[in-house]
Amino acid sequence: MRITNRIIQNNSLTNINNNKILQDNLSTQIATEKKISRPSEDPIIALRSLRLRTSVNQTDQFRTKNAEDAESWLEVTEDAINTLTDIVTDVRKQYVKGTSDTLKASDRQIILENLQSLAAEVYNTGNVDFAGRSLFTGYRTDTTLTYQKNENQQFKIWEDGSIDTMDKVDYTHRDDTVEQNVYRESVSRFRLSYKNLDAAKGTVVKIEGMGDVTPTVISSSANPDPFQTAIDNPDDIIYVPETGELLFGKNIAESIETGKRSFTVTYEKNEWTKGDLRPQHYFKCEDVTNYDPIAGTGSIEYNFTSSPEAEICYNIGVNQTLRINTNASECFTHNITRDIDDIVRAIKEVDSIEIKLKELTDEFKELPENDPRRDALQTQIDAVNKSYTYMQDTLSTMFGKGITKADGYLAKNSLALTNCGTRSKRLELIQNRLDTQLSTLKELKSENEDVDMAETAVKLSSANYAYDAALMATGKIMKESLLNYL
Amino acid sequence: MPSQFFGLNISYTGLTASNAGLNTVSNNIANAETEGYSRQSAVQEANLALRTFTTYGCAGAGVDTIAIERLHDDFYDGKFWDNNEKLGEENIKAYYMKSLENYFADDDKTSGFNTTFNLMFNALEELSKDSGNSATKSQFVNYAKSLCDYFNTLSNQLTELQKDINMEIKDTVSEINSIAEQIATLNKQINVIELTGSHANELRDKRALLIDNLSQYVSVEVKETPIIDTVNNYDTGANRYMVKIAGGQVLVDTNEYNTIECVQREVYETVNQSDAVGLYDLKWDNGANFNLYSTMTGGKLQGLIELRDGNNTEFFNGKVSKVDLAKNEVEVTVKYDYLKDLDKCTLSSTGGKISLGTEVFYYSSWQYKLDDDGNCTYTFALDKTYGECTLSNSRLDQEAKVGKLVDYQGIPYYQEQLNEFVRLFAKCFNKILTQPGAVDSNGDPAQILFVGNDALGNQYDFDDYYANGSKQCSSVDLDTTDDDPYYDSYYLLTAGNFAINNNISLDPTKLATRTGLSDGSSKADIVFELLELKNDAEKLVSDTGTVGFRGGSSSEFLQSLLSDVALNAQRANSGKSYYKTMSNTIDNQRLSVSGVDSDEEAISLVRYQNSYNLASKMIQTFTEIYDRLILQTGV
Repeated sequence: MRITNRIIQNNSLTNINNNKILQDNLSTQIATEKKISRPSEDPIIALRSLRLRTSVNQTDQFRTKNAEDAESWLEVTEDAINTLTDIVTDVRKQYVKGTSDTLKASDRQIILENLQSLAAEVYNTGNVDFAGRSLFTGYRTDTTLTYQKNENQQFKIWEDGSIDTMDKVDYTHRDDTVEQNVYRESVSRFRLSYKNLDAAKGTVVKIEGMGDVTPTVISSSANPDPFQTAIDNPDDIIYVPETGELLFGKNIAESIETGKRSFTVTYEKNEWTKGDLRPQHYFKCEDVTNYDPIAGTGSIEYNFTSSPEAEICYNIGVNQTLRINTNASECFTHNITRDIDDIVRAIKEVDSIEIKLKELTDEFKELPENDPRRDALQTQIDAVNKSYTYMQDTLSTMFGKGITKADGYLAKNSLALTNCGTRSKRLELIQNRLDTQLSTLKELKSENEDVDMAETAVKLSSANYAYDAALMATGKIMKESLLNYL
Repeated sequence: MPSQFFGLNISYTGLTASNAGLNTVSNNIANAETEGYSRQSAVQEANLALRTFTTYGCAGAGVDTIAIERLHDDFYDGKFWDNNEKLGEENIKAYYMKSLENYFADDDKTSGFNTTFNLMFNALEELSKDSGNSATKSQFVNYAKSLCDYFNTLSNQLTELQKDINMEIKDTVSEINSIAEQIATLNKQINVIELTGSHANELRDKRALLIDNLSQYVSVEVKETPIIDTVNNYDTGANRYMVKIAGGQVLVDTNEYNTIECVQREVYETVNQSDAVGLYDLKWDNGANFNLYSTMTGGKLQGLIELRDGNNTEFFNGKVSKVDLAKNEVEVTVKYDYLKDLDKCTLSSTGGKISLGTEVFYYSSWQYKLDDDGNCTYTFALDKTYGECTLSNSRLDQEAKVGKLVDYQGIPYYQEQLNEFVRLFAKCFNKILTQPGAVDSNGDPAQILFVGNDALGNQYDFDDYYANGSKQCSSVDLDTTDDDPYYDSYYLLTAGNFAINNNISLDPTKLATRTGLSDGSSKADIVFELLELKNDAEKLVSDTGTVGFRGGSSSEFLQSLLSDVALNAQRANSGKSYYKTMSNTIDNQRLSVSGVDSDEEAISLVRYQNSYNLASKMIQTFTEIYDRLILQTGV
């Protein structure tokens, strides 16, 4: 082949340019620390890099955001449950004190005050929030667990009961004149979760297999009192709106017990005091404050039965969720304060009868030995004393039962705490795994797209050497021609 | 017996021949670096001998330079042009694919689809943890807006790129026209010179260089035939020079040349839904159509057209199954899956051309229908305002086509992919969002999040879409009884008009996150279902029941598209470097024949100089001989 100057020029230029392209590639790789700067240079690396980047991003979201948030939530929950446990333990201590045989009036007073202040505190711990979100209220994180101030809100509440949730209370029939007429009888009772109910709206008890029963509304201040009425009317149910109690007549209680029947009580409450648990977190209920009976609208239904377990879950992995919330019903039960209510009432009754007894005894002491009224007064004192003994005994029993119940609440708390702890433990394991996963992914990503500096530097210097050599050769060959020698 | 002065004359021919040789060398050296120049050589021949009527017979009569020839091999020209045409095509593809690569990029430097999409889903994760919080909702809505912006920008960039390509088609066409004119002029000049029997070396070089140039724009075929005077059976010396381009279409025929015109498409001639307005169709100035989509077009022009119109072979075609002369409508039954799925539809919404058999009609709108057996029809309402053909029953069973098959992944292909993804994703997302029982933070029924903006700034709300099950849709709103003035089909949603529902954008609390009115603000069942849309292809189901976008989940969207772009770019780049090398090789082969070599010229220089010197020495010798003969002999 005939080689002309132009061919040599062309070839040299192409070769030098190729060397330059190689050098440019290598120096770009070193400057950017990446193997490729455009997807077309190696589509496989580019696509794998996209995939890995997405995985890193997602794992990072799980690890640094979701898992961390879940951890904080669980920590706050644990703290709140621990506080509750402390309070319930304190309540239990008071009950223990109450069982003491040598309980004086002043002791009772101290116990009463302590219990009342503890009762005010107990649900407050349930109002803790995490970043403005209420912790124990299921999905309703924008609503506090309890009322924050006294409020009027007309709620219709459906509360379920059965023989297991009913109890028997000792009722002392007082007759302050005739000792023989004083007797004690136990009454079957279903204690509703709230007191101070709306008396005007009444209540309906739907008993399984027996249909609707409308209880008689008897105020606690009525005479004869509701308990007496319940004893006197064995087929009736007595509804006491002030104390939130349903008293079952003997016969009706028996048929519930033998038939193992469950029942649903529907009642309404309008006046809420600060610290009351909001019913929508516990029951199927309906806010009828703005109900328009003509249009049939305006009520808000809280259908608790459709979502009994409001589980707030966080994604902490692909197809992996962790429940983080603990619901109020798992530890903050109405019974804690309702027990205290009972005891407070009993203490007050004992107090009042003690005062009465003291008055009578004082009067008796002032009377001269032979006063004809002494016999009658002595009979009265005996009668009151009998009631007093019964009541004191009832109170003492109540304290005893209170301890057992408080132990039950503590057990429930510790179960909730254990659940929380188990979740924390699981979260910890997952966090560890996510850490490993994240570092593996990052490593893979780096392996895929980052250059090996040493190797590239070596390649660059050899490319540089080749370039120098090409320049030298070209320079030599292009300079000379025959014309130089003519 | 020859003349006494015969020798002097012979020396003289030697002198002129050497002179001609020297001039040729000098011309070669001068043009050593001239583009397209072919080296020349003086062709010398011994003069006819003179009969001297002596015993030695004939006497040599010196030398004659009969021609100055151009050393050139036409065979390599043909090879060069064929190669140059491919180089031109790959070059332009590589150039534009680079832009596409940039548009689709997503890495540490550029935040593309994946970054935007991941941000949106991370915001959704945050929302799943605190679904009642309006700040979290607002954050998510803003990231969703970024996703819309991403698609809007990308679609606009593609449209702009399509416009650029369109402009470059026009430039290329004027370039071709200008070359055609120059070639015709040169043909005339060459023939004028060559009719006299000489060689138009420089003009021929110039013409070959023009064809070199032309071959990068379009495929070239050149034919040169001598013009024979058939009456006298005599070669006139002139040649017929034909240049055919783009698969046999005549550009230049000796002194005559044709030009190509660019005709802008009107709005009612739009081919693809997302095409830029005013794309050019090409026409010859004599009225004939320039076949744009011939695979023989070649060169930069083919590259540009494929980039501008490439639909990856997916174009609308079917069979006319019904002709309604009264309504001036035709029903076309289609059989391909990509036509049955309205998400993949690329038909224009502003009217376009449809060819039924050999006749071309214009349509103003169309209606889509898919029955339960999977039979799919499109009914086109034809527009009598345009075109010359009248609908008749003879069109029945004819093949109906809109647009042409272009086997390349060009701008329309990527636009279609974007539209398809946006429609599919928006549809599935909205469906989960507005599932039965879904309520927003205010307790109102859920609204869709992703909508499309129409040209007037209104938003399509697709409200009847779920009602009629999407099996019947129209390119325009035909439902006049509907109070709602907007359209219902997701076909109207494109990457270019993809947007966030204004109501939600103004008040993010309107974003639904749960079902169950009173179940509490932290219930996030809808959000969790939406989260599955990211990685679960099963959640991405089209109306025809196909699962996933190209079989993958929505987060794999960019992977699918980037693999197309990257592979096309890689192919163009490697094609470009291959043809570049080939071009060098062939050019070197050409240079091997016609290039000027300085060493060679130096030797020629010495050769001619020597012969010149010798010839002048002869003349000097003869001068001395005459001096002796005339002045000193016998006087």
